[in-house]
Amino acid sequence: MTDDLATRFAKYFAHERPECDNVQVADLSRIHGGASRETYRVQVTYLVSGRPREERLILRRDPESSLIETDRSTEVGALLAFQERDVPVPRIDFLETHPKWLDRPFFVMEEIRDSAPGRVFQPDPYDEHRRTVGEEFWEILGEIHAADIEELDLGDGFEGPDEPHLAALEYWERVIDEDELEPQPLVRAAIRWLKANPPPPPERMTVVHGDYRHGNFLVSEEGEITAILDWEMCHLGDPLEDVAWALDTIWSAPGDHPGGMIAAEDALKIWSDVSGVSADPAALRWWKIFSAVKGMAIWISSAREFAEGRNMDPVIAFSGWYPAQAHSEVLIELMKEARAA
Amino acid sequence: MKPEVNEILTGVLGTVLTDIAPHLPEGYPQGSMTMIALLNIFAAQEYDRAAEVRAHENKAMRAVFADVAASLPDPDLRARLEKASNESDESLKVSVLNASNSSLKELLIELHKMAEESDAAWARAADEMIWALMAEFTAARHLDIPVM
Repeated sequence: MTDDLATRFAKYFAHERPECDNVQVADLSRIHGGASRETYRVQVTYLVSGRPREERLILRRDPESSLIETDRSTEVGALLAFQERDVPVPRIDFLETHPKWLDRPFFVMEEIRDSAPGRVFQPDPYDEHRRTVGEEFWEILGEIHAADIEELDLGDGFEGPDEPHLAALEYWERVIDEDELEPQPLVRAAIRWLKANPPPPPERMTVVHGDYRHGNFLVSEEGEITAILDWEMCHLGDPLEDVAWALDTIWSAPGDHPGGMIAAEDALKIWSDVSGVSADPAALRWWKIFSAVKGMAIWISSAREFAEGRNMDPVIAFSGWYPAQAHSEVLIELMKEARAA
Repeated sequence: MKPEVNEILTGVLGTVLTDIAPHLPEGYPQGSMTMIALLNIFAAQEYDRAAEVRAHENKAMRAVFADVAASLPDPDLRARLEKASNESDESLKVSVLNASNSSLKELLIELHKMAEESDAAWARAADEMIWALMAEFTAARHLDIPVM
C-alpha cells in the first residue's frame, strides 16, 4: 500500500514542482499515533538544473474514518497563521483537497529533524530538560494567546462564538449524543453542572489550539521545543480552554507536574505573564471539568469507531478504553471539588 | 481452565515485547504492537473482574432505586424504578449483564436529573447516593498501566 502511495505522491510532487526532474520517493513510512489523520514520513529526491536535492516531509492524509471531524484546512490555516511568530510550527508546503492524487485530502509540511515528542506513560518524559521544556511549553502557549486574532490571517472557518464556553460544550455534547454506545451517568451529570454553573466571559477571545498538551510537540536533544503540532481542533474561544487541557493530569504519569514538566502554579504564572490573561480560579475549574468532558467525547467516539469496525487501528481501541477510564477518574475528583465549593 | 485467560494474555506479552516487537520496523508497526500489548494487559485485568463489576453495579443501582422510589413525586418514574429494583440478573454472562447495566444507567441518569431539580430531602439524599455510586463504579473499573 505504501509503495503505491509513494508512487502517487511522487507524481503529485512532480506536478506541484515542475522545476524538479526525476522526482522519486526514496522512503515513505507511517508514523504511529495521529488518530485524526494518517501521518507519513516521506523522503523525496529530485534534480533541479541537474543538481541532486533531497527533502524530508510529513504527509498528513485524512483517514477513511476519524475521531475528530475537522477540516484539514483548519489545521493548515492555523499553522500558516503562526509561521512568522514566536510559536514554532512546521513550514507548510502543500494543501490538496482533490481526491484524484491520494484518494483523500491531505497536506504536506516539513519534517522537523532531530526532534521527538516526549515519551508517553513515563514519570519523567523530558529527563533533565523537564524545567526548560516546561517553561518553554507555557511561554509558547502564552504567545498563542497573546496573538491578536484581528491581525492573524487564519483563513476561513474561524469565527468567534458569542459565548465560547457554550459553543464548546454544545459541540462536544452533540458528539457524545451521536456516538455513545452506553449511557454515561457521570458525563451527563458533569454536563448538567457545566450548564448550571457557567464561567465568566473570557478576558479576551483568542486562538485556542484545541489539543495543546504533552505529546503534541517536538523537543530537540538540547531540550528546545522545535514544533507545536496537531492543530486540527484549533478555533477561536476562551484561552482557558487550552490551559485546562494542558493541565489535565491524564497526559502523563500521576504527579504534581502536569505533562511531566513544571508545577501547575509555575506554569500558570509563566502563561499569564506572556499572554496577559489571568487564570480566574472559578473559570479555570469550569474549563478543567469541560476538558474531562471533551476528552470523554473523543474517547467515546473512538470506542464507537472501533466497535463498529470503521477504524480497527489498535490505537483507536486503546483510546476508547484507557483514557476514557482515566478521564472518568479525573472527572470524579473534579466534581467532588466543584460540589464542595 | 488452566492457565486462566488473564494468565494467557499476560503470559504471551513477554514474547511479544522481547521477541517480536524489537524486530518490527520503527514507527507505526512498533507503536501498534505496544498498543496491542497494553490492550492485552487491560483485557487480562478485565477478564477476572468483568462479571463481578457489572453484577455489583446492577445490584447497587437497584438498591438505590428501592430506597428512593417511594419518595418520588413522579408516578411514572416511580413505577419504573420499583419495577427495576425488583428485578435481578438471571445470568452472569457479560453481554447479559451489560444489557441490564445500560438500562439501569439510563434510569439512574433520569433519577439524578430529577433529584438535581428538587430541593426536597429525598432529592438531596438521592443526589449524594448517586455521586457515591458513580465514584465507587469508577474506582472499580480502574486500569493499571505499566511504565513502558
